[in-house]
Amino acid sequence: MTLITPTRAPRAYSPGQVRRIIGIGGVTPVVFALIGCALMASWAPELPDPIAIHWGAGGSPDGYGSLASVIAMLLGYVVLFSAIIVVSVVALRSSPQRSSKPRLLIAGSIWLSTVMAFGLTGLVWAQRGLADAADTGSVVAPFVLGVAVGLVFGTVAWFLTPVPARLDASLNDGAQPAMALASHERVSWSRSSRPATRTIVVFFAVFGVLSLGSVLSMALTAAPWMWVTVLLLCLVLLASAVCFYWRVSVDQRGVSVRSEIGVPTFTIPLDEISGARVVQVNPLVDFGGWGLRWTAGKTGIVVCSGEAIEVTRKSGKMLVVTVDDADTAVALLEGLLRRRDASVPPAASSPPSTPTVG
Amino acid sequence: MLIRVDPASSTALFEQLAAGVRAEVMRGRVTVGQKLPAARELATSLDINVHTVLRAYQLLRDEGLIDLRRGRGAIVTDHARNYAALAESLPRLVAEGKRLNLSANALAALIREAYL
Repeated sequence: MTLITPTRAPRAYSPGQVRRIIGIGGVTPVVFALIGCALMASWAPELPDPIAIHWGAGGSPDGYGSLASVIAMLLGYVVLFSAIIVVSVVALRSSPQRSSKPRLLIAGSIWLSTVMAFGLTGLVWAQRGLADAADTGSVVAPFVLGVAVGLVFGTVAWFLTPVPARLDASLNDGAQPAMALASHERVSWSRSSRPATRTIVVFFAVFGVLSLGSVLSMALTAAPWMWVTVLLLCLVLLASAVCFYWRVSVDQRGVSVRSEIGVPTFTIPLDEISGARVVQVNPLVDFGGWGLRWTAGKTGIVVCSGEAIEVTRKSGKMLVVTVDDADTAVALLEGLLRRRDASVPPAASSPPSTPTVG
Repeated sequence: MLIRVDPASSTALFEQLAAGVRAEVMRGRVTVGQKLPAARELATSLDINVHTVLRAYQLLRDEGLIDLRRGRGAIVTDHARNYAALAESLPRLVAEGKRLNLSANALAALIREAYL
Protein backbone atom coordinates (compact mmCIF):
# COMPACT_ATOMS: atom_id res chain seq x y z
CA MET A 1 0.00 0.00 0.00
CA THR A 2 1.49 3.30 -1.07
CA LEU A 3 -0.07 6.59 -0.15
CA ILE A 4 0.66 10.03 -1.45
CA THR A 5 1.64 12.30 1.37
CA PRO A 6 -0.28 15.54 0.84
CA THR A 7 1.80 18.68 1.07
CA ARG A 8 0.36 21.27 3.41
CA ALA A 9 -1.70 23.97 1.78
CA PRO A 10 0.11 27.30 1.39
CA ARG A 11 -0.48 30.03 3.94
CA ALA A 12 -3.61 32.09 3.33
CA TYR A 13 -1.90 35.47 3.76
CA SER A 14 1.13 37.08 2.15
CA PRO A 15 3.76 38.72 4.41
CA GLY A 16 2.29 42.15 3.59
CA GLN A 17 -1.20 41.02 4.58
CA VAL A 18 0.21 39.48 7.76
CA ARG A 19 1.68 42.86 8.73
CA ARG A 20 -1.68 44.48 8.05
CA ILE A 21 -3.53 41.90 10.19
CA ILE A 22 -1.05 42.36 13.03
CA GLY A 23 -1.58 46.12 12.73
CA ILE A 24 -5.39 45.96 12.77
CA GLY A 25 -6.01 43.03 15.12
CA GLY A 26 -2.93 43.23 17.35
CA VAL A 27 -1.45 46.74 17.54
CA THR A 28 -4.72 48.73 17.42
CA PRO A 29 -6.42 46.99 20.38
CA VAL A 30 -3.25 47.29 22.46
CA VAL A 31 -3.03 51.02 21.59
CA PHE A 32 -6.68 51.44 22.72
CA ALA A 33 -5.85 49.64 25.97
CA LEU A 34 -2.70 51.73 26.50
CA ILE A 35 -4.62 55.00 25.97
CA GLY A 36 -7.18 53.81 28.54
CA CYS A 37 -4.41 52.85 30.97
CA ALA A 38 -2.63 56.20 30.52
CA LEU A 39 -5.88 58.13 31.17
CA MET A 40 -6.63 56.06 34.28
CA ALA A 41 -3.10 56.55 35.61
CA SER A 42 -3.32 60.32 35.00
CA TRP A 43 -6.45 60.50 37.16
CA ALA A 44 -4.79 58.67 40.07
CA PRO A 45 -4.44 61.76 42.32
CA GLU A 46 -8.18 62.51 42.08
CA LEU A 47 -9.37 58.97 42.86
CA PRO A 48 -10.50 57.40 46.13
CA ASP A 49 -8.42 54.46 47.34
CA PRO A 50 -9.58 51.72 46.95
CA ILE A 51 -11.81 52.34 43.96
CA ALA A 52 -15.03 50.51 43.18
CA ILE A 53 -14.46 47.66 40.70
CA HIS A 54 -17.67 45.69 40.88
CA TRP A 55 -21.32 46.71 40.88
CA GLY A 56 -24.25 44.84 42.37
CA ALA A 57 -27.63 44.24 40.79
CA GLY A 58 -28.96 47.52 42.28
CA GLY A 59 -26.39 49.63 40.42
CA SER A 60 -24.29 50.51 43.46
CA PRO A 61 -20.73 49.29 44.06
CA ASP A 62 -20.20 46.03 45.98
CA GLY A 63 -16.56 45.25 45.23
CA TYR A 64 -13.43 47.34 45.67
CA GLY A 65 -9.86 47.14 44.46
CA SER A 66 -6.79 49.13 43.53
CA LEU A 67 -6.40 51.27 40.42
CA ALA A 68 -3.42 49.10 39.44
CA SER A 69 -5.63 45.99 39.29
CA VAL A 70 -8.02 47.69 36.84
CA ILE A 71 -5.11 48.85 34.66
CA ALA A 72 -3.57 45.35 34.73
CA MET A 73 -6.92 43.77 33.88
CA LEU A 74 -7.48 46.03 30.85
CA LEU A 75 -3.99 45.54 29.47
CA GLY A 76 -3.83 41.84 30.35
CA TYR A 77 -7.12 40.82 28.75
CA VAL A 78 -6.65 42.90 25.61
CA VAL A 79 -3.08 41.66 25.02
CA LEU A 80 -4.09 38.04 25.68
CA PHE A 81 -7.18 38.01 23.44
CA SER A 82 -5.72 39.96 20.54
CA ALA A 83 -2.56 37.82 20.62
CA ILE A 84 -4.59 34.56 20.47
CA ILE A 85 -6.72 35.87 17.61
CA VAL A 86 -3.88 37.37 15.56
CA VAL A 87 -1.67 34.29 15.94
CA SER A 88 -4.40 31.92 14.78
CA VAL A 89 -5.53 34.11 11.87
CA VAL A 90 -1.96 34.61 10.63
CA ALA A 91 -1.29 30.85 10.80
CA LEU A 92 -4.33 30.15 8.63
CA ARG A 93 -3.76 28.04 5.55
CA SER A 94 -5.70 28.50 2.37
CA SER A 95 -8.61 26.21 1.63
CA PRO A 96 -11.03 25.86 -1.29
CA GLN A 97 -13.90 27.26 0.78
CA ARG A 98 -14.59 30.95 1.04
CA SER A 99 -14.17 32.05 4.65
CA SER A 100 -15.10 35.32 6.32
CA LYS A 101 -14.15 34.02 9.77
CA PRO A 102 -10.76 35.81 9.88
CA ARG A 103 -12.57 39.12 9.32
CA LEU A 104 -15.10 38.26 12.02
CA LEU A 105 -12.35 37.33 14.49
CA ILE A 106 -10.32 40.50 13.87
CA ALA A 107 -13.48 42.66 14.06
CA GLY A 108 -14.37 40.86 17.32
CA SER A 109 -10.91 41.58 18.72
CA ILE A 110 -11.31 45.31 17.97
CA TRP A 111 -14.86 45.32 19.38
CA LEU A 112 -13.86 43.61 22.61
CA SER A 113 -10.88 45.87 23.23
CA THR A 114 -13.05 48.96 22.58
CA VAL A 115 -15.71 47.79 25.03
CA MET A 116 -13.10 47.01 27.66
CA ALA A 117 -11.19 50.27 27.16
CA PHE A 118 -14.33 52.43 27.26
CA GLY A 119 -15.98 50.48 30.07
CA LEU A 120 -13.04 50.22 32.45
CA THR A 121 -11.75 53.73 31.75
CA GLY A 122 -15.32 55.01 32.18
CA LEU A 123 -15.84 53.37 35.55
CA VAL A 124 -12.61 54.91 36.81
CA TRP A 125 -13.52 58.30 35.25
CA ALA A 126 -16.85 58.27 37.17
CA GLN A 127 -14.96 58.09 40.47
CA ARG A 128 -12.79 61.19 40.03
CA GLY A 129 -13.15 63.64 42.91
CA LEU A 130 -15.02 61.20 45.16
CA ALA A 131 -13.84 60.77 48.73
CA ASP A 132 -15.47 57.36 49.11
CA ALA A 133 -15.82 54.94 46.19
CA ALA A 134 -19.12 53.73 47.66
CA ASP A 135 -20.75 56.94 46.40
CA THR A 136 -20.12 56.02 42.75
CA GLY A 137 -23.31 55.81 40.74
CA SER A 138 -24.12 53.45 37.93
CA VAL A 139 -21.40 52.99 35.31
CA VAL A 140 -23.49 51.30 32.63
CA ALA A 141 -23.22 54.31 30.29
CA PRO A 142 -19.49 53.92 29.41
CA PHE A 143 -20.02 50.23 28.64
CA VAL A 144 -23.01 50.99 26.39
CA LEU A 145 -20.95 53.69 24.67
CA GLY A 146 -18.09 51.18 24.30
CA VAL A 147 -20.41 48.61 22.70
CA ALA A 148 -21.68 51.22 20.20
CA VAL A 149 -18.25 52.65 19.32
CA GLY A 150 -16.87 49.09 19.22
CA LEU A 151 -19.45 48.15 16.59
CA VAL A 152 -18.31 51.06 14.41
CA PHE A 153 -14.60 50.24 14.86
CA GLY A 154 -15.30 46.53 14.38
CA THR A 155 -17.12 47.19 11.11
CA VAL A 156 -14.21 49.29 9.86
CA ALA A 157 -11.78 46.51 10.89
CA TRP A 158 -13.96 43.95 9.05
CA PHE A 159 -13.52 45.82 5.77
CA LEU A 160 -9.81 46.51 6.31
CA THR A 161 -8.99 42.87 7.09
CA PRO A 162 -7.85 41.02 3.97
CA VAL A 163 -9.83 37.98 2.81
CA PRO A 164 -7.80 34.74 2.96
CA ALA A 165 -6.51 33.45 -0.38
CA ARG A 166 -8.64 30.62 -1.73
CA LEU A 167 -7.09 27.43 -2.88
CA ASP A 168 -7.87 26.10 -6.32
CA ALA A 169 -10.20 23.17 -5.57
CA SER A 170 -8.27 20.88 -7.91
CA LEU A 171 -5.14 21.37 -5.78
CA ASN A 172 -6.95 20.32 -2.64
CA ASP A 173 -5.46 17.32 -0.89
CA GLY A 174 -8.93 16.01 -0.01
CA ALA A 175 -9.30 12.99 -2.26
CA GLN A 176 -7.31 9.97 -1.19
CA PRO A 177 -6.73 6.84 -3.25
CA ALA A 178 -9.00 4.16 -1.82
CA MET A 179 -7.21 1.27 -0.14
CA ALA A 180 -7.69 -1.97 -2.08
CA LEU A 181 -9.50 -4.46 0.16
CA ALA A 182 -10.28 -8.11 -0.48
CA SER A 183 -13.94 -9.03 0.10
CA HIS A 184 -13.17 -11.19 3.16
CA GLU A 185 -10.39 -9.04 4.58
CA ARG A 186 -10.83 -7.43 8.02
CA VAL A 187 -9.16 -4.09 8.58
CA SER A 188 -8.94 -1.86 11.63
CA TRP A 189 -7.31 1.52 11.97
CA SER A 190 -7.18 3.39 15.24
CA ARG A 191 -5.23 6.26 16.66
CA SER A 192 -5.41 8.56 19.62
CA SER A 193 -6.02 12.25 19.07
CA ARG A 194 -4.74 14.72 21.63
CA PRO A 195 -3.51 18.31 21.70
CA ALA A 196 0.16 19.16 21.26
CA THR A 197 1.95 19.41 24.62
CA ARG A 198 2.40 23.11 23.93
CA THR A 199 -1.39 23.60 23.68
CA ILE A 200 -1.98 21.76 26.95
CA VAL A 201 0.68 23.82 28.76
CA VAL A 202 -0.75 27.11 27.42
CA PHE A 203 -4.30 26.05 28.27
CA PHE A 204 -3.52 25.14 31.84
CA ALA A 205 -1.29 28.21 32.31
CA VAL A 206 -4.02 30.59 31.07
CA PHE A 207 -6.75 28.71 32.93
CA GLY A 208 -4.65 28.60 36.10
CA VAL A 209 -3.88 32.33 36.06
CA LEU A 210 -7.51 33.28 35.35
CA SER A 211 -8.94 30.99 38.05
CA LEU A 212 -6.32 31.99 40.59
CA GLY A 213 -7.16 35.62 39.85
CA SER A 214 -10.90 35.03 40.32
CA VAL A 215 -10.47 32.98 43.48
CA LEU A 216 -8.02 35.48 44.99
CA SER A 217 -10.19 38.49 44.20
CA MET A 218 -13.16 36.69 45.74
CA ALA A 219 -11.19 35.67 48.80
CA LEU A 220 -10.15 39.30 49.25
CA THR A 221 -13.71 40.55 48.93
CA ALA A 222 -14.89 37.55 51.01
CA ALA A 223 -17.60 36.62 48.52
CA PRO A 224 -19.88 34.00 50.06
CA TRP A 225 -20.31 32.23 46.71
CA MET A 226 -16.64 31.41 46.40
CA TRP A 227 -17.02 27.63 46.74
CA VAL A 228 -19.59 27.58 43.94
CA THR A 229 -17.09 29.27 41.64
CA VAL A 230 -14.33 26.88 42.70
CA LEU A 231 -16.65 23.95 41.98
CA LEU A 232 -17.53 25.41 38.57
CA LEU A 233 -13.85 25.91 37.75
CA CYS A 234 -13.18 22.25 38.60
CA LEU A 235 -16.08 21.16 36.38
CA VAL A 236 -14.79 23.28 33.48
CA LEU A 237 -11.36 21.75 33.95
CA LEU A 238 -12.79 18.21 33.94
CA ALA A 239 -14.95 18.89 30.87
CA SER A 240 -11.98 20.35 28.97
CA ALA A 241 -9.81 17.35 29.85
CA VAL A 242 -12.54 15.02 28.53
CA CYS A 243 -12.77 17.03 25.29
CA PHE A 244 -8.99 16.94 24.76
CA TYR A 245 -8.32 13.19 24.64
CA TRP A 246 -9.97 10.98 22.02
CA ARG A 247 -9.53 7.68 20.27
CA VAL A 248 -10.49 7.56 16.61
CA SER A 249 -11.10 4.27 14.82
CA VAL A 250 -12.15 3.16 11.36
CA ASP A 251 -13.23 -0.39 10.51
CA GLN A 252 -15.97 -2.28 8.67
CA ARG A 253 -18.54 -0.93 11.16
CA GLY A 254 -17.74 2.64 10.19
CA VAL A 255 -16.14 5.53 12.10
CA SER A 256 -16.02 5.89 15.85
CA VAL A 257 -14.61 8.74 17.91
CA ARG A 258 -14.56 7.96 21.59
CA SER A 259 -13.41 10.11 24.48
CA GLU A 260 -10.59 8.35 26.36
CA ILE A 261 -12.89 7.98 29.36
CA GLY A 262 -15.59 6.40 27.16
CA VAL A 263 -18.17 9.17 27.15
CA PRO A 264 -19.07 10.88 24.89
CA THR A 265 -18.76 8.66 21.83
CA PHE A 266 -19.59 9.60 18.26
CA THR A 267 -20.15 6.76 15.81
CA ILE A 268 -21.23 6.77 12.18
CA PRO A 269 -22.13 3.35 10.74
CA LEU A 270 -20.58 2.63 7.35
CA ASP A 271 -24.05 2.50 5.78
CA GLU A 272 -24.69 6.14 6.69
CA ILE A 273 -21.44 7.48 5.26
CA SER A 274 -21.36 9.02 1.81
CA GLY A 275 -17.71 10.03 1.69
CA ALA A 276 -14.56 11.07 3.51
CA ARG A 277 -11.59 13.31 2.82
CA VAL A 278 -8.53 14.81 4.46
CA VAL A 279 -8.83 18.48 5.43
CA GLN A 280 -6.57 20.98 7.15
CA VAL A 281 -8.09 22.47 10.28
CA ASN A 282 -7.31 25.71 12.07
CA PRO A 283 -9.24 25.31 15.36
CA LEU A 284 -9.98 28.96 16.15
CA VAL A 285 -10.77 30.06 12.61
CA ASP A 286 -12.70 26.99 11.45
CA PHE A 287 -14.45 26.04 14.68
CA GLY A 288 -14.05 29.01 17.00
CA GLY A 289 -11.91 27.08 19.44
CA TRP A 290 -10.67 23.72 20.68
CA GLY A 291 -12.47 20.63 21.93
CA LEU A 292 -15.96 19.55 21.03
CA ARG A 293 -17.42 22.13 18.64
CA TRP A 294 -20.51 22.62 16.57
CA THR A 295 -20.75 24.87 13.55
CA ALA A 296 -23.16 24.97 10.58
CA GLY A 297 -23.80 21.31 9.68
CA LYS A 298 -20.51 20.19 11.17
CA THR A 299 -19.56 18.51 14.41
CA GLY A 300 -15.91 19.13 15.17
CA ILE A 301 -13.63 17.22 17.49
CA VAL A 302 -10.77 19.62 17.24
CA VAL A 303 -7.78 19.28 19.54
CA CYS A 304 -4.94 20.54 17.37
CA SER A 305 -4.32 22.37 14.13
CA GLY A 306 -3.35 20.37 11.06
CA GLU A 307 -4.70 17.35 9.30
CA ALA A 308 -8.17 16.01 10.05
CA ILE A 309 -10.62 13.52 8.60
CA GLU A 310 -13.91 14.93 7.40
CA VAL A 311 -16.67 12.30 7.20
CA THR A 312 -19.85 13.25 5.34
CA ARG A 313 -23.08 11.48 6.21
CA LYS A 314 -25.71 10.68 3.60
CA SER A 315 -27.82 13.34 5.33
CA GLY A 316 -25.15 15.90 4.42
CA LYS A 317 -24.01 16.43 8.02
CA MET A 318 -20.30 16.25 8.63
CA LEU A 319 -17.98 15.07 11.39
CA VAL A 320 -14.49 16.55 11.47
CA VAL A 321 -11.81 15.00 13.69
CA THR A 322 -8.24 16.22 13.94
CA VAL A 323 -5.93 13.20 13.98
CA ASP A 324 -2.48 12.29 12.70
CA ASP A 325 -2.18 9.84 9.81
CA ALA A 326 -5.55 11.05 8.51
CA ASP A 327 -4.50 9.89 5.00
CA THR A 328 -4.56 6.26 6.07
CA ALA A 329 -7.90 6.62 7.84
CA VAL A 330 -9.49 8.25 4.78
CA ALA A 331 -7.93 5.76 2.34
CA LEU A 332 -9.28 2.89 4.46
CA LEU A 333 -12.71 4.48 4.74
CA GLU A 334 -12.85 5.03 0.97
CA GLY A 335 -11.79 1.39 0.46
CA LEU A 336 -14.53 0.19 2.82
CA LEU A 337 -17.12 2.37 1.05
CA ARG A 338 -16.06 1.05 -2.33
CA ARG A 339 -16.32 -2.54 -1.06
CA ARG A 340 -19.75 -1.80 0.44
CA ASP A 341 -21.05 -0.29 -2.79
CA ALA A 342 -19.64 -3.16 -4.85
CA SER A 343 -21.20 -5.89 -2.72
CA VAL A 344 -24.66 -4.46 -2.01
CA PRO A 345 -27.20 -3.90 -4.78
CA PRO A 346 -28.12 -0.20 -4.70
CA ALA A 347 -31.86 -0.85 -4.16
CA ALA A 348 -31.26 -2.69 -0.90
CA SER A 349 -28.36 -0.60 0.34
CA SER A 350 -30.10 1.49 2.96
CA PRO A 351 -31.21 -0.36 6.08
CA PRO A 352 -33.37 1.62 8.50
CA SER A 353 -31.11 4.21 10.02
CA THR A 354 -30.71 4.43 13.75
CA PRO A 355 -29.76 7.51 15.72
CA THR A 356 -26.09 7.08 16.38
CA VAL A 357 -24.54 10.17 17.82
CA GLY A 358 -24.52 9.48 21.53
CA MET B 1 -2.24 1.66 13.90
CA LEU B 2 -3.52 -0.12 10.80
CA ILE B 3 -4.11 -3.87 11.12
CA ARG B 4 -5.26 -6.07 8.24
CA VAL B 5 -6.13 -9.75 8.68
CA ASP B 6 -7.51 -12.27 6.25
CA PRO B 7 -9.48 -15.16 7.81
CA ALA B 8 -9.19 -17.02 4.47
CA SER B 9 -5.39 -17.07 4.65
CA SER B 10 -3.53 -20.22 5.70
CA THR B 11 -1.51 -18.19 8.24
CA ALA B 12 -3.06 -18.29 11.72
CA LEU B 13 -4.99 -15.13 12.63
CA PHE B 14 -2.87 -14.40 15.71
CA GLU B 15 0.28 -14.64 13.56
CA GLN B 16 -1.23 -12.20 11.07
CA LEU B 17 -2.12 -9.83 13.89
CA ALA B 18 1.35 -9.95 15.45
CA ALA B 19 2.92 -9.46 12.00
CA GLY B 20 0.65 -6.46 11.48
CA VAL B 21 1.80 -4.84 14.72
CA ARG B 22 5.48 -5.51 13.89
CA ALA B 23 4.98 -4.00 10.43
CA GLU B 24 3.46 -0.85 11.95
CA VAL B 25 6.46 -0.63 14.32
CA MET B 26 8.79 -0.87 11.31
CA ARG B 27 6.83 1.81 9.44
CA GLY B 28 7.27 4.05 12.47
CA ARG B 29 3.53 4.48 12.94
CA VAL B 30 3.61 2.62 16.25
CA THR B 31 6.34 4.01 18.49
CA VAL B 32 7.92 3.45 21.91
CA GLY B 33 5.54 4.14 24.78
CA GLN B 34 2.43 4.02 22.61
CA LYS B 35 -0.56 2.09 23.85
CA LEU B 36 -2.01 -0.55 21.53
CA PRO B 37 -5.81 -0.78 21.34
CA ALA B 38 -7.35 -2.83 24.15
CA ALA B 39 -7.66 -6.50 23.14
CA ARG B 40 -11.43 -6.48 23.39
CA GLU B 41 -11.66 -3.28 21.33
CA LEU B 42 -9.41 -4.63 18.56
CA ALA B 43 -11.28 -7.97 18.55
CA THR B 44 -14.65 -6.21 18.11
CA SER B 45 -13.18 -3.94 15.46
CA LEU B 46 -11.83 -6.87 13.42
CA ASP B 47 -14.77 -9.12 14.30
CA ILE B 48 -12.49 -11.85 15.62
CA ASN B 49 -12.23 -13.68 18.95
CA VAL B 50 -10.71 -11.71 21.81
CA HIS B 51 -8.52 -14.71 22.70
CA THR B 52 -6.93 -14.49 19.25
CA VAL B 53 -5.92 -10.89 19.96
CA LEU B 54 -4.69 -11.81 23.44
CA ARG B 55 -2.63 -14.64 21.95
CA ALA B 56 -1.04 -12.22 19.47
CA TYR B 57 -0.31 -9.74 22.28
CA GLN B 58 1.24 -12.52 24.40
CA LEU B 59 3.45 -13.50 21.47
CA LEU B 60 4.60 -9.89 21.12
CA ARG B 61 5.20 -9.69 24.87
CA ASP B 62 7.35 -12.84 24.72
CA GLU B 63 9.40 -11.12 22.01
CA GLY B 64 9.78 -8.13 24.32
CA LEU B 65 8.05 -5.75 21.90
CA ILE B 66 5.19 -4.89 24.24
CA ASP B 67 4.55 -4.77 27.95
CA LEU B 68 1.28 -6.25 29.18
CA ARG B 69 0.14 -4.84 32.50
CA ARG B 70 -3.22 -5.40 34.07
CA GLY B 71 -5.25 -2.25 33.84
CA ARG B 72 -2.69 -0.41 31.74
CA GLY B 73 -3.07 -2.26 28.47
CA ALA B 74 -0.36 -3.13 25.95
CA ILE B 75 2.47 -0.61 25.86
CA VAL B 76 5.20 -0.69 23.19
CA THR B 77 8.64 -1.10 24.81
CA ASP B 78 12.08 0.28 23.95
CA HIS B 79 12.59 -2.92 21.96
CA ALA B 80 10.72 -1.18 19.08
CA ARG B 81 13.89 0.85 18.41
CA ASN B 82 15.75 -2.39 17.59
CA TYR B 83 13.55 -2.78 14.53
CA ALA B 84 15.31 0.10 12.76
CA ALA B 85 17.95 -2.12 11.10
CA LEU B 86 15.35 -4.64 9.93
CA ALA B 87 13.11 -1.85 8.64
CA GLU B 88 16.06 -0.72 6.56
CA SER B 89 17.15 -4.09 5.17
CA LEU B 90 13.70 -5.59 4.51
CA PRO B 91 12.82 -3.36 1.51
CA ARG B 92 16.23 -4.21 0.01
CA LEU B 93 15.58 -7.92 0.51
CA VAL B 94 12.12 -7.63 -1.05
CA ALA B 95 13.47 -5.61 -3.98
CA GLU B 96 16.11 -8.28 -4.54
CA GLY B 97 13.43 -11.01 -4.39
CA LYS B 98 11.32 -9.15 -6.95
CA ARG B 99 14.35 -8.72 -9.21
CA LEU B 100 14.72 -12.51 -9.17
CA ASN B 101 10.98 -12.94 -9.92
CA LEU B 102 10.46 -14.70 -6.57
CA SER B 103 6.98 -14.81 -5.08
CA ALA B 104 6.48 -13.63 -1.50
CA ASN B 105 6.13 -17.29 -0.49
CA ALA B 106 9.33 -18.27 -2.26
CA LEU B 107 11.27 -15.50 -0.51
CA ALA B 108 9.70 -16.47 2.83
CA ALA B 109 10.69 -20.09 2.21
CA LEU B 110 14.30 -19.02 1.63
CA ILE B 111 14.26 -17.04 4.88
CA ARG B 112 12.75 -20.02 6.75
CA GLU B 113 15.48 -22.26 5.39
CA ALA B 114 18.18 -19.83 6.45
CA TYR B 115 16.77 -19.91 9.99
CA LEU B 116 17.34 -23.66 10.34
